[in-house]
Parts: sequence; structure tokens; C-alpha cells
Amino acid sequence: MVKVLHYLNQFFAGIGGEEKAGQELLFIPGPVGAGAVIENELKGHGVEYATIACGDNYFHEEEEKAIRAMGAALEQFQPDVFLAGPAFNAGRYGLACAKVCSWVRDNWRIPAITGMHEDNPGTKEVGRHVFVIQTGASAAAMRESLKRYTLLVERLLAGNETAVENFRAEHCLSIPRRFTVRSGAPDYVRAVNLLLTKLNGQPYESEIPRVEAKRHPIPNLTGSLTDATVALVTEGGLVPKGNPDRLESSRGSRYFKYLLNGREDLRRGEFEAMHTGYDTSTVDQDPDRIVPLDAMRVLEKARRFKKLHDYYFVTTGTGAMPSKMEEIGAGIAEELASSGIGAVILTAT
Amino acid sequence: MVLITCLSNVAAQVGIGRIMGGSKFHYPVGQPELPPEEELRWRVGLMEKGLTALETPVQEPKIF
Amino acid sequence: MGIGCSLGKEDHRMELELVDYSLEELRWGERTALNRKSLSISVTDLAKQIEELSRGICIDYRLARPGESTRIVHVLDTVLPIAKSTGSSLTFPGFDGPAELVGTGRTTRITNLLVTVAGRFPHPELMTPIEKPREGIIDMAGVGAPYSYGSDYFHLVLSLTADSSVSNASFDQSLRPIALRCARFLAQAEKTGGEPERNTVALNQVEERLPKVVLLYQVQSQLACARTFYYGEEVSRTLPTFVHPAEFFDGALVSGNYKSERKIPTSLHCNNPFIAELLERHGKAMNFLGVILSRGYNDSFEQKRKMGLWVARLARNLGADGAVALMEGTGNGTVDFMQTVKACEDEGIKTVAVLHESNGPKGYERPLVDHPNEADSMISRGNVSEKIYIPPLATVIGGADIDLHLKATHDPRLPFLFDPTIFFGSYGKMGSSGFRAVYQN
Repeated sequence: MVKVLHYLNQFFAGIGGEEKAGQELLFIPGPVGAGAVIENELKGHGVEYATIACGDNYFHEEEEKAIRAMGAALEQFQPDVFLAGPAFNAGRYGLACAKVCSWVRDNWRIPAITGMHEDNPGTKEVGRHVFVIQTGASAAAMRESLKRYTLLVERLLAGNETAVENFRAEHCLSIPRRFTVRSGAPDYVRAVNLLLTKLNGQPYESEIPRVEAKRHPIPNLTGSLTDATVALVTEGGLVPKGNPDRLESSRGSRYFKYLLNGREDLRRGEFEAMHTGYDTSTVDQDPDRIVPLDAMRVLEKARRFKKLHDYYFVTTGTGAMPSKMEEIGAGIAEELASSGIGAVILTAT
Repeated sequence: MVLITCLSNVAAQVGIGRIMGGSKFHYPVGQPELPPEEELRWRVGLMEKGLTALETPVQEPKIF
Repeated sequence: MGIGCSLGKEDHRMELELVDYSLEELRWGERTALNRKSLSISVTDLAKQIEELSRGICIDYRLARPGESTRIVHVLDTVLPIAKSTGSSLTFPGFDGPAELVGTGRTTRITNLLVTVAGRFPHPELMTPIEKPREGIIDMAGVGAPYSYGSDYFHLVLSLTADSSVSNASFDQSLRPIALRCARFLAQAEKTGGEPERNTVALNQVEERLPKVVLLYQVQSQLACARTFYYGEEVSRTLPTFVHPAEFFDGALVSGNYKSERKIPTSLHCNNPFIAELLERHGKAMNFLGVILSRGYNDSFEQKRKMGLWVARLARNLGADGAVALMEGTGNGTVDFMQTVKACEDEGIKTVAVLHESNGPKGYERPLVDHPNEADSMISRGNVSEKIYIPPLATVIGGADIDLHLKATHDPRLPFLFDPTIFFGSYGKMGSSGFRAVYQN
């Protein structure tokens, strides 16, 4: 008996359209929609099929809860294979499929298969070892896609590694990312060999390519600074003493904002820095050394700019993944923009 | 936005437009060796430099 | 004449004779003695050795062997048993008495045994976040073994618990001499049966035509609980210096760094495969000049840049044509490292740099924090942010819970999903296990 669990969004599970995108995650025994097609194709293998349905908005707004509910469903059902989608070009669905497949593969170590179009933003969230079958851009490609899901499941059940790899090469999206592999020789041998090659004037290749960062346009000030509200932001982990919101001391998962209104400077004992990446003892003695409130008040009084924003924003960057920090930065930027902030001074360690 | 950090070259590599080196890694806008009034005066000078940087149009990363 | 030779004084050539023993068996016994390849250790002997160093500290003594289903937790440092057999100097100079120069004479070693000191500091609440030691575990078998430095050694584990009367500083200052003394004591154990292997460490004169190569060795020495000692002195605010490889073998460098996954353990300073590889190739493919020791984590960009310039100038002064560079640490320290690589290339010294990558759990992130154009010959140690499923092992030594880098605590007898940063010395170990990162679908 092979157990297959299939994740579908609210639409493909037949629950409803956009108006049902807030559907909580639920477990449905038996196949639904596309799952019924696959189950039918796999009949000869003795398959027990079940479905997870989840609204696209629910997943993104309550990801933690959704994952927990999904974990409970997996505990109960104990699947051997996990499927999600196909998502075609539906962005939120594709992201959800990529995330759930990655989570399942990491935590349950069973094959996880999804499918989407190469332009789907979900391709940016796929974990290692997850199969991402290439599909057309719309549900018109459903039949063809499901045939491929079925073929891959069959090859996995047959335990034929070569056939599975052939499938991957032929039908899965090429999403190159950097992963750890075991090389033939240790680093010290390869390093000396590479140096000798370089010294001998022979052609050589670096094992780590230089990857350019994504460039963003650099905004310039429109209008005068004397009309602008300036905000202070920091990566230095400075929070009110006691860390009421539990900011992590490394890899901040969120940002917070704290009131500066009514303060002329930041006092020792009222704030502390939660950060493992720098020696916080000096800024703990005088928090203005990381969030320069006292100096900004002097310049505010001198009308160098119109006003200092009522709040400062903070997160902790050390050890964090750049993509997470991008998310946090975007969140802070959105709040600042909607508060009419014209300029930011950002301190980082 | 102007970024004050000791790791100014890293900031330039990721394309930040306005970068200042600040003081030391553990206290980017502090000068603990100075007496408090002098430290404040120094910090005001640094913020003034930051505001001038904000007023300066740039097309690519610049270390002020 | 070659590095380490005094003009006209043949008998003053810097040469270190290594007398190497290795184990196939490790057990407790009434005496501490090595018979052929079987070492028996007496706890009473050990306790007597370190009695005066361990006031207020309770020590639990355990053994571990390669391939055993054992997980050692809260590892702070590992030390190789080495002892001088001739002369007045001591290995690990600067600890346990006045320092004497090392790197000559004869040193006895047990090459596949480690004295492993583990434990938690008595007052973590008094430490700033950066001072807090990071969790480090050694998996002696299974999935975690190729990521755990020390998984292929035998271990005498000293699991320390300090009572509240011991300050953090005192604990830090005690655990080092405790481990070092045990290490020396074991190396000096009475030996019977079997013959040791003998090797010599020297930089003999070689053919002129061979390219001259230095090893650039950047350590982390930043603050208490993240520092490195040379002849017993912290190298936190020093210039780069030349160190003869033989000094490394004698324990001239000792680690006081508890940033577990990215530290260079004392035993690795003492038995470094980069140094061994360069010594092996000396006279054949190259002329190994020796090691330039520098310090990363300087406090401003200008200081980082200068450290790079000083290293490059020292390499040039030595006549280096090429350099292999490695560093201890990550993040901030990478900038010092890359400034060094850049400065060397600018001085005409071809440089290969070895580093880990942080490509994120899904492999999408940019590999390095800092990557100047000049660093065009990198050797990869693998992606240290990939999630690994870590199954339980049968025995846990040293603690009932581990901390997942201040995010959560976990029972080490249960499986968990984490990245290589939970394993002791993993960045270096991944390199010597032959891991690297590549583009894959």
C-alpha cells in the first residue's frame, strides 16, 4: 500500500475562487480534483490517496499555523509520497507549493513533487531535492502535467534511480542553486593544486564564482531636506531594556519600532542591544552610540531638517540570510513611505 | 538613505548608494574615548555629514 | 640556506623530530600507560594532575572512540597530546610557566587522541551576547561525523561543571591549563611494546627554480571567549608575524575561541593539514617558506585594509611568489581576509583562498559576504547553511540539552533538522572532509 498526499489550493480543491482564498488548511481523506486523475492512473500500484486543501491567502498570512496543521496531517496519514499543485503560473499557489514541498522533504524525507511554469515566483522558494515538473502557463496544460506527475511517481515507486534522474533532466525545471557535494579531495590538497596551476601560468577556475548582487535604483532626494521627516533605522539590535518583543540576538525574524517621541537622548539602562555579532557593551553604556538620537535632536532644533520620525526601526542582521533581510527592509520601507518619511539614516555593525 | 557601517566595501558591493564608514565596528556612531560633550559634538558632526550625503544626488555607490 | 638556518651553525638548523604513537584501543585502567596501541588511563592520575587548577570545578571523565554511536555536547576545545622529550621547553608555551621557544628538539605525540574539554560557563547571564560560547557537538558516527571535527579521533572527554563561586573569567582561564596539562601528561605516559613512527619537520634548502609559497593563517582574536593565544599571549591587537611551521606542531598557538563551528581548535592549530600538505610538497613542487599569522576581526575598514597590506608586504619581504590563505571565523572577519587576498594579489603574490559558503538553506543566496574581483581562485568548503536531518545517536556525553544557537533548546537524544553550524569545528572539518558547493538543480 503506497500512500500519496496531495496539496491543492482552494480553487483546485473545488472549494471556491478568490473569495475562498482564506480557507484554513484542511485534510480530506481521498483524492480531490487533479488528485483523482492521478489516483486513477496509479490504481495498479495499490495506492491510498488523501488531499490537503488550503487557501492561498491563508497559507501566506498564517504560514506557521498552516505548516503545523500540515505536520499533524502527515503524522496522522504517514504518506510515502507528497504532491503539490500543479500551480502553472499562479504566483501565490506556486510559492505555497514550493514551501510545503521543501518543508515536507526536509522534515519527512519522502519524495516531494510539485509542478509549475518556469516564470512562477515559486521557483525561488524550492528546497534541495524537491522535484519541480515543468508545466505550461495555464490550467490548459493540466492533462499533460498530471501525466508527468504520474510518470515520476511510478518511477520513484519502482526504485529506479537512473530513470528518476532521466525524468529530472527531461521534465523538471532547471533551477540552479549552490549545494554541498562531496568532492574527491580535501580542501588543502585542492588549494595547493590550484595554486601550483596558477603559478605555472596555466588556465584555472575558481570554485566559488563571484555573484553580483541584484541592483536596486538609488533614490535621490526630491525637494529640500528642510521639508523632510528623517527616520532612524538600525540593524544593531537595540531594544528597550527587557527586550519586550523578544527580538532574536542573531538572524532577526522580524523588525520592531520603538518610540523616540518625548526623548532627547537614549539612556543607559533603558535600552539594551540584542546582537551576537558585535561587542554590545559600549552601546549598552550609551545607546546613542548605535541609534544617534541625541545628535539628531540637536540638528532637528537647528532646523537642518523638518522633523525626526517618532519611531526608530530595529532588527538584528548578524547570521541572517540576505533574502530574509530584504523582506524585513521592504516592510520597514513600506511603513516609512506611508508615514511620509523622506530620508533614512541606517546604522549597521 | 545613508548607511553608516564599518563594512563599507560590502555595502558598496550590494549597491548601497550612500555609505559612511562611521567610527568602529562595535559602535558605529560612538567615540567612547572622548568625554561626553565632545562625543556628542563629534556625533552631531557625523550626522551633519550624513544629512549632506542625503542631499547629494548619486547614481552608484559612493563612500562619503 | 633555507628558512630557520643560522648562518655557519649547522647544528642550529630549526628541525623538530616527531615521535608519533597512535591508538587502536582506549580504556580506563589503574595506571596510565600505552602498551603497543592500547592506552589505559587512570582517572586518579588525571585528577592529581589538575587538582590545583580545578578548584570549584567538577569534572566528569568519559571516553569516546571513532565510529561509536556517541554524541559529545558543549564542546569548547580539543587538545592533541604532545610533550617535549628533550630540553627544558614545554609544549603549549606560555601556559603552566614561563614561555620558552619551541619548534626544535623532539616531541612525542599521540596522533589520534584528543583531550576534549566540554561544559557550560557558570554565569551566562553576565555575558554580552557576543561573548556567549556557541553550542558545538561532535557526532562520532553517522550523518554528523563528516561535519564534526574530531569524529575520527579517540577522545578523553573532560566534562566540566563549575559551581556558582567560579566567575566566567576564572572558568575560561582554568579550562585551558586543565586540558593542556592532561594532554602533556598523556603524551608522557609510559610506553611499552611497538615502535613509534618518526618524522621530521624542517624547511630544508631546495632548488632555486621552485616557486616560493607562504601559508596565510588568519585567526580570530577579538574579545574574551573569542581569542587566540601565541606563546600564551592574546594576538588581539598585533601585527602579522612569521611563524615557523614547527612551532605549530609544538602548540605555540592555543585557542580561546568558543565560536564553536567556525573556530580552529587547539589540536587543529597543532596538527594542521594545510601545513602538513605544504611540508609534504616542499622541495618537490614548491619551496614552502612558512606561515604568516595574522588576525581578523579588526575594528574598522581602514584597520582591516592595513592588516591586509601588512600581510602582503611581509609575504613579499619573504620573497613569496604565491600564497594559500585560510581564515578562522566568518562574517566581519571575511572582510579582513579578502583585504589580505586583494593586497597580496596587488603585490604580485598569486593567492588561493579557502572559504565556506553561505548559500542559504535553499541555495539561492550569494555565496560570500565579501568577494572582491581579486579573489579569483577560491576553494570551497561547502554550503554551511543547508539543513541536515540529524538522527539520534545511542549515547550522549556532556549534557541533557543542547542550545540551538540561542533560538531553542533541544534534547540531544532526539533527531533534529539543523545546519552544519551545530557541529564543533565544522567549517574546517567540511573542508578536510572534501565538501564543496556546486550549482545543482
